[in-house]
Amino acid sequence: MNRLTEDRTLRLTYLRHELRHRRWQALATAAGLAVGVALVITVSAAAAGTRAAQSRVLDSLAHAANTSAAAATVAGAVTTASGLAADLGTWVAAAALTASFTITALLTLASVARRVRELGTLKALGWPARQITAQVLTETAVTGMAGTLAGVALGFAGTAVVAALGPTLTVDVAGFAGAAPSPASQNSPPKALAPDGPVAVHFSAPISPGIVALAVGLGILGTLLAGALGAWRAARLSPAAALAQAG
Amino acid sequence: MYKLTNVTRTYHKGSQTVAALAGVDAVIGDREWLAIQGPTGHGKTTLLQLLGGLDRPTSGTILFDGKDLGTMGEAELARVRAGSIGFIFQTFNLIPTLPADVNVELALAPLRLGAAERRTRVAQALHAVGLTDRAGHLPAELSGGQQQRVGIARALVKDPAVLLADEPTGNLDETTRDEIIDLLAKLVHDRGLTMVMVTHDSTVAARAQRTGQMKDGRLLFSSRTSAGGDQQP
Repeated sequence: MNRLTEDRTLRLTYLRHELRHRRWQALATAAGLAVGVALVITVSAAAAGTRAAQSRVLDSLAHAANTSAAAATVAGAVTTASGLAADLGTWVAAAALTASFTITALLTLASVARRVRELGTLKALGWPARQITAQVLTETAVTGMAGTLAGVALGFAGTAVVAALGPTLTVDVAGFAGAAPSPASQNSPPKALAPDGPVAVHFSAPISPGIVALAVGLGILGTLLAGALGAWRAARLSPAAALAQAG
Repeated sequence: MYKLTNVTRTYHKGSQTVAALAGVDAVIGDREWLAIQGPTGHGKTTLLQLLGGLDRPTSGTILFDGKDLGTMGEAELARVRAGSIGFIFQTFNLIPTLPADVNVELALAPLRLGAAERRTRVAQALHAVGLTDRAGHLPAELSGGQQQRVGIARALVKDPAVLLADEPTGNLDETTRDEIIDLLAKLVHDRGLTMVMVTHDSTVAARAQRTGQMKDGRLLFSSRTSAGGDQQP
C-alpha cells in the first residue's frame, strides 16, 4: 500500500466515524439534495407525459380540425394549455433545484461552522489546508452521492405515483362534425369525417435516461458546489481564531 | 530552541488597536521547561500561538531552530507544526466523534507514515500515558484526566522537539492535576523536550525550570528555580 493510499485510509476512518456520529446532520443534507433531484425527475417526466398526451389529443382532433372552426379552437387551446403546463413544470423544477442546492450549501457551511474549533485543532496538529479541504470535500461528496441516489429512487417512486393518479382523457370529436365550417373551409368541399366514437388518452409520465442523467448531473454539481464552498471556508480558517472559538 | 526579538502582535477591534504583545524579547533553550504566568488578557495565549506558528507577529522575529516563523509560508508552517511542535490544550480539543486511538493517530496524518508505523506509534504513545486499555473509547467516555492524557499522547506521538501547553491542568481537580504534571515532567525529562507552559497555577509553575510573567504584553523573567523539569516526579 503506498503512502497516498495510507493517507486516504486514515481520512476514510475519520469520515466513517464522523458520518456515524453526525448521522442526523448528514441525513438532513442528503435529504435536501434528494428532494431536489426527485422533483427534477418527477416534474420532467410529468412534463414529458403532458406533451405525449397533447400529441395524442391533437392527433385525434386532426381530422375534425380540418373541417371545424370549433375543433381548431380546441386544438389551439390544448396546445396553449400543454405549453403552460410544461413551462410551469420547468419553473417548479428550477425552483426546487435552487432550494435544494441552497439547503445543501447552507447545511454544509453550518457543519463547517459547528466544527470550527475541530478544524482549528487539525491545523494546530499540522494538517495542511489541502488535507483539510480534502476531508471536508470527501464528507460532502459521500453525503451528496447518497442524497443523489436517494433522489433518483424517490424520483422514480414519485413519477409512478403521478402516473397512477394521472387522469385518462376522453376525446369525443363526433360533435364537431355538425359544427359551422370555418371561414377558410367555407369554399372547400368536406374532406373527411371525424372518427367514430370517443378516443381514450392515457396519461403517463415516462422517465428517459436523459432525465435521470440530468438529475444525477445536477445532484453532483450541487454537491461539488456545496463541498467547494465548505472546503474553501475551512481552508481559510485562521488556526488561532478557530482555536479561540468557544467549544 | 527559540529566540524572540521585539515581538509585537496587535489586533484591530473596530476603530481600536489592541496590543496583545508589546515587544517581547526572550531566549528559550533546548530541553528547557518554561512556565508563563500572568493575568487573563495580558498576552499569554497569544505568545503561545506565535511560538506554535498558529499566528504571525505584527513585528519582530521569532526564530525557531534558526528559522523565522513570521516569514514562513503557510505550507512550511504547517510542516513545522506537524513535525516539531506538540500542542496540549486546556479543553483537550479532542475530536468528539473519534475514539482515543484515532484522535492520537490524526497527529500523524500530515507525516504520511505507513499504517503499521502509525499503529505502533499510537500504541506506544497511549502506553506512555497509561491509556492502552482505553484506546477504543470516545472522549465522552473518558474522565477529564484521561482526556488530557489522550491530548498528551496526541502531542507526543509525532516525537516533537517542543511541547506548547496552554493551561493543561486548568480543567482538572488537584489530584488529577498533580498526576498530569508528574506525567508531563517525566515525559519531558525522558525525551529531552522543550516545554513552554501557560498556567495560572503557581503550584504547577513552580515545577518549571524558569517562570516568566506576562504583564501588559511584555514578558518578564524571574530567576531560575532550583527545582524543575530535570527532576523526576
